[in-house]
Amino acid sequence: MSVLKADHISIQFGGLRAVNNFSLEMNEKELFAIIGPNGAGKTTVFNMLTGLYQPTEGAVYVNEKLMANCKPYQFTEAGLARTFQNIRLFGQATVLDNVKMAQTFRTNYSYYNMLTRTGKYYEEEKRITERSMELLEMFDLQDKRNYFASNLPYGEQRKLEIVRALATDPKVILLDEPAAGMNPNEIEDVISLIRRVREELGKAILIIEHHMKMVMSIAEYIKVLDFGETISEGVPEVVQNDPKVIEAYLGVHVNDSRG
Amino acid sequence: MVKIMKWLKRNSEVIIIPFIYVLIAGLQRTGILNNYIIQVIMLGGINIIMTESLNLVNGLTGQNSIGHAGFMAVGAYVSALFSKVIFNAGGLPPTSQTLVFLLATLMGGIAAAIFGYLIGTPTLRLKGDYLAIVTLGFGEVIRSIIRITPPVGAARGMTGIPKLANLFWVYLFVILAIYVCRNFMDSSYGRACMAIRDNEIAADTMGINTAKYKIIAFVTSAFLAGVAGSMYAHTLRYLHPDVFGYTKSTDFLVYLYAGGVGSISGSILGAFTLTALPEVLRFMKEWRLVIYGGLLVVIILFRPVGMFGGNEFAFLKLKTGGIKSVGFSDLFKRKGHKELSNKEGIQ
Amino acid sequence: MEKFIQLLVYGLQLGSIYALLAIGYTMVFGIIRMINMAHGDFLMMGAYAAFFIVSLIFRDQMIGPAVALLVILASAGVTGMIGVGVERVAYKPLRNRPKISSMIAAIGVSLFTQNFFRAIPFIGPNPRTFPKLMKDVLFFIGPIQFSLVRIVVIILSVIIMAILYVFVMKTTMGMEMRAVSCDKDASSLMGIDVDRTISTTFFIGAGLAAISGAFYANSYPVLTVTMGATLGNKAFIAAVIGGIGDIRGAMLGGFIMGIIEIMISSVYSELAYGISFVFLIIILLMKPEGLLGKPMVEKV
Repeated sequence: MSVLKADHISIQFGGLRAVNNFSLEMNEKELFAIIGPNGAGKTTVFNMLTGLYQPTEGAVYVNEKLMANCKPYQFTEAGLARTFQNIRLFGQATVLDNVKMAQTFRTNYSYYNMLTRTGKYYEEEKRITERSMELLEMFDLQDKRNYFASNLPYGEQRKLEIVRALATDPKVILLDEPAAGMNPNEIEDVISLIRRVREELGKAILIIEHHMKMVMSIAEYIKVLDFGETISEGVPEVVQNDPKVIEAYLGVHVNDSRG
Repeated sequence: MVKIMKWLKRNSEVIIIPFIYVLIAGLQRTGILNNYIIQVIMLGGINIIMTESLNLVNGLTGQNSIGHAGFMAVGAYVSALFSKVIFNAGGLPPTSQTLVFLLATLMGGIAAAIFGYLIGTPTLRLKGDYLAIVTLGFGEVIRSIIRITPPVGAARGMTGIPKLANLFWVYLFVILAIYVCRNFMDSSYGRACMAIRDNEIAADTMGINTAKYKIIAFVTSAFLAGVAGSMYAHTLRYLHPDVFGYTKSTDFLVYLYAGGVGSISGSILGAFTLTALPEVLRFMKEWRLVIYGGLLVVIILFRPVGMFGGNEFAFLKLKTGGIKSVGFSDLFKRKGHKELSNKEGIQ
Repeated sequence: MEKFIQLLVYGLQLGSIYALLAIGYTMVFGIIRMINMAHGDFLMMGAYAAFFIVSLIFRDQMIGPAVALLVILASAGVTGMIGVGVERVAYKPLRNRPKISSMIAAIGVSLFTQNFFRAIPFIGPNPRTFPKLMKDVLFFIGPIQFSLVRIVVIILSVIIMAILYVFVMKTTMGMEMRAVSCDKDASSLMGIDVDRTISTTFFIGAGLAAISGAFYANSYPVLTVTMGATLGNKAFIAAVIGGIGDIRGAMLGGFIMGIIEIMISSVYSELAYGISFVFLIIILLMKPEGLLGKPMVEKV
């Protein structure tokens, strides 16, 4: 089943066509990547895939459901989650609460239950806490569950963002530069974390990344953007050697006789 | 027996809350606290309810409502009108007075809640300063409308409201309001509101329907304000539209922000202390608002957490609304100023 | 028809007062992204300052137009300095904090100033009557009666606005103000003294408010400590309607507000204040950037 599909989406801001004719289809447990120079429109694509922007042309499908004029939370309800390039944790909340907050829409008690603490209130609260702890333990954050999210070291904040996104129980998760600002050791951690998310939790993953080694080592399929256009795509070996990709990044024609 | 003692110890509020009431009522009965002081205490209680209500919107959800007195006005006038009409119809046995009062209060709350919905909905997309000005405008519009409506006394005010509120009822509703706020904060609703406060875009992306929860917060808050309004009407027994203007709204802002925004205990202590203080310090009557203004600036500059705003009432297991004893007020701190210790607080 | 033109003139006069006040809001918002809730109180301070200068120095003499102008400028200067002081004490320390802090501080400042003035017996809670700054001359054009003073106020306001516009667009100081409005940090890196620029902005804004206060008091000669609040809110709405952050927008919005308010007041005065807020809500919902503004986009 297709978990995420972009059908020839484009977006136009006034006179600027930021992304043109982008298409993508992902099935369960697949791991794709979008790469390209800065300003190529990668995060704009993400924003269209998550409901923050509405494409001016084309359509987005999450788990085969057409997302027309939907708000971001509806994308999440449909089974998609994302992290952000600049960390957007709930800084004044604890680690545990951050994870709990992501499960709001999966909580099954009513306003009345909340006011009177009857019925399913205690049941659901217990269930959510347990599930949150499970996720935290899986990523070794359980000891810091009562820390304020803004007090975690940078690498753990990024991990928490991913854990929080996973708490929404998506079929597909979008990671925007998960390895940004990390040293090679930390990148190794991120790579194994991403692998675990795919293997153990069975999620499909779409990442935007600049660290080429990381992308080439884990992605099954890559799309390359430049100035909003898809200039290349394919498996890592193909993309790595595509002259158009090299030119976009380095700006030098491979066969330049003067070189 | 031991089991009961243990249960009581864990749920100590079951004893403490009635005890406080009995204490105050006893002092009233024996005349140690005269009627004036009792009325001050009641007004303090009403202010506590209002500040709690404001805390739900400004503290918990991070919105900027600065015209909250408008909701109180709606509750006050609607409930007063209801009880006046019923009483003037005449011939009611004393026992049904309670029923009338409760009904009036309920209607006041509901009417205010409806206005909460009416205000909350169009303002969903507004941020910060704009939202503030619009809420201010709402308060003024309400006041203007009341001023030109003859059936509720218009600019002359409404008199002859039956004396239905007393210490017991005010105390009860204060406790209920605190209960509601605590249950709200310590639930998925409260967490959703805090998420919206801390990072609205992230909240939206994490599946939280921000519009829905903002409205829920507004409506709940407005309902409580309406209840407070009803208490107010039946305590003072006289209403005038100008009472519910911007000045009254700023009173609640001072109680909230100076007291400790985001935490329940902060709201309680802020409201009560700042209501009682002018009574204790006579000279403050003239200079009350001057001091409030200065206090607000000083607090914001030097102690954004508020004067209180922590675990003052730990025995009541009050959620402090920002989780683990630091709340919305922490957002006021300089960027880059991290918490000195990672508080591993009690749940 | 004559009535209409007369109302139009009243509206333009009130509008010029709103415009001067709105410019202050808009300049401050432009430069530090903050709505100074206490701005209306600068108007009040300016009016009182003018009042005291006249009553203390000139007693009951009738003063000529030239002296009146000097008095107004003096009160503008005094109020401008107060504005700079307020900024330094209450707003500057909050520049790096979330916007709510500044708003609360502004509310506190407003609360403080209004009630401080009320509590001081010298200034006091009782309304004061503003003296006529100059003898009014009524003249007729055709069947319509005009008041010279009102026309003078309108003309003077327009002149002031024109001077301000030239200042902001053509002088170095003006350029620095525009730069800081765009990007505070980059400006300081380019060698602009950001603090001084912000102080200048507040000085000008408060000064303009004071001038508008004197003009207002001349036509509606009752001074109270709360006079600034209502006018301030209306001027703020004017600034938003015109496009907050844009000086021309503030001027445009001010005149629009003035004319509309006079027109509505002639029909139903009680509701004029409330209706202006309804206006605001409509504008914010439909075109939040105002008539002349540009939409702000939040980067995700």
